[in-house]
Amino acid sequence: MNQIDNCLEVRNLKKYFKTPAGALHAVDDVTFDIPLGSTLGVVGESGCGKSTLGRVVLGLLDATDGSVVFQGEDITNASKKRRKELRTDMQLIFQDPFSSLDPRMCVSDLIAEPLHVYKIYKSGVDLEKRVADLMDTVGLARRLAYAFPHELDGGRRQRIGVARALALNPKFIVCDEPVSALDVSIQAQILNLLKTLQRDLGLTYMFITHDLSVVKHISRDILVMYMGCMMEKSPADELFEHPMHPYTKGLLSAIPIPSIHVKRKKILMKGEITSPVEPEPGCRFAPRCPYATEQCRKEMPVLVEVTPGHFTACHQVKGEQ
Amino acid sequence: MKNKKADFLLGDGTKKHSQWLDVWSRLRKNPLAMICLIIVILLILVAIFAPLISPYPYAKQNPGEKMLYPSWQHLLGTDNYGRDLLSRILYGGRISLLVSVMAVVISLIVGGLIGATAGYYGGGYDTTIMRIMDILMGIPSFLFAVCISAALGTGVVNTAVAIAITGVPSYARLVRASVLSIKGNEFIEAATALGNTNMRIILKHVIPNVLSPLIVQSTLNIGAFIMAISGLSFVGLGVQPPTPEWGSIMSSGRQYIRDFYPIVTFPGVAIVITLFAFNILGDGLRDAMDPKLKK
Repeated sequence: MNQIDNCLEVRNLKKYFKTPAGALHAVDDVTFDIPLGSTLGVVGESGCGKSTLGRVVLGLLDATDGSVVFQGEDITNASKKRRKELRTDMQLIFQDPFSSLDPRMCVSDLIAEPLHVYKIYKSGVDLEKRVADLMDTVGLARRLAYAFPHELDGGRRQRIGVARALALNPKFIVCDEPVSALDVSIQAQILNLLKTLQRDLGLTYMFITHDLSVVKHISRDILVMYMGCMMEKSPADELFEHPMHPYTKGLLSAIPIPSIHVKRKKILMKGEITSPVEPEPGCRFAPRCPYATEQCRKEMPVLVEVTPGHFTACHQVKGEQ
Repeated sequence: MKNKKADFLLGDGTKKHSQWLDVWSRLRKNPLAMICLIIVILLILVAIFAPLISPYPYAKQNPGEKMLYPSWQHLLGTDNYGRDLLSRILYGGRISLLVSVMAVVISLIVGGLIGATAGYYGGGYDTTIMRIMDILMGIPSFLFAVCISAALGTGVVNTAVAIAITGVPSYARLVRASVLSIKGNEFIEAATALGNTNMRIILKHVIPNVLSPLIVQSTLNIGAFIMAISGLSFVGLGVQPPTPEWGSIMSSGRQYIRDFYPIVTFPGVAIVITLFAFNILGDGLRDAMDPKLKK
């Protein structure tokens, strides 16, 4: 391990929440690497544990089990002090730019907040210069420096969120559905901004979303989650061309195609998500899977590398081979 | 002003951007609030300089000049002992303002701390504290104040404490509710993610966002507390004669209300002016502190 290729290595990460009804398996046995300078897209429906995964990776929530290794350092049980230092390297962009910005702070104060917290600059002028630079970087006009968030549209607000995340020069950013609260046209602006920043600053992203077309646009690898478990992990193009897991197939068939001539068989998933509290043994997706067998209901499938780089956790896919 | 600040961000000035300056500049645009601010300042000045501006000593009785109507000798007339009403009202403002402001500050701090910790930490602590507050709220506040006042004894500080304790539960509830609603916001989590300490989050994010209901509540309370002090004085607790106090002056003139109006009317007018000034100033402050209302 002389050379660190991976920005982040996550091994068998688990996060259970205690509820009166039993343990809620929010994240269950998730393993992945993110190479430096690349993007991992994390896809899944609401409540599948994507955001929890992001929070655990950043250390905002304690992991129940497993490990998170950031740039060769195991940070799973880092001390409080180390956690705070790590915040300068690992940042988070929030989903909702309307509620994630303090309504009583103006744009420049919001962007300067992380710089204040870490006391990066001693002089006010340096601080203001840095804020001005950041505003340029994310494409916010300087005349907005003293505007308040409620005076700005969603795209500009999210640019503030990006600037706040960038303020401390992090290496790794968890983007927690950064565009799902925005209009489609503004989504594209923010995605392109994130891509440009990645290229210019060498950032590594973990991009959490439920929108497959967004994830295709930005990710190198994609991780599909269902009820806290990994269903499939593969390079982005490969996943879109050869989806293996029935759940992934179902998700892909739901992406709208802007053409009336293309006829396509939609795979409809029946039923609803079962409860993640004390889940039954067996594949989490089995109750809704059209191909489920007795084995699926009894035995939890393990993640297998079916073709190079393409992992999936499904008994049936193994059976096909 | 806005342009000047923007220039600074471009790196040429040294002007410090201050939140309170913004509040002040917004408050200045509200003429009604400014008038009330001036009245409040005048009231405070009058209370401080009462010995210098009163034409007569407040306790000097003059049986020969009982119950005189306003004249050039006695601008607001005299009371049933022949004491100059203007002097008594000027001195009375001292007690009324001092005690009510003291009571508001005490109940704001105590209630605010109780409510903020209950809201922030939650759980069993929250439940226990808030049920105690509910019990306190269940006791009629005047009765409660009378009991505490009787237990503590009379005097300015004791009266303030007695009144303040009756105000604590409502502050605790208000602050707890505000903290709960703020705590659920994503920007608090965002602040944690940026590495803020709990203390910094409370100071920089929670308090500024709960301040406006507190300001309104406090200015309303100043009025309510002036009335409560008068009530206590009226039943013989609170401030003792001959120390003048607006409520006690009014209650002493109560029996003459049909035949001789000044004793009841003028202190009443003083109370009304004070209440209006504080309430409207409070409203103005709340608006000025809300950046969303900026024009």
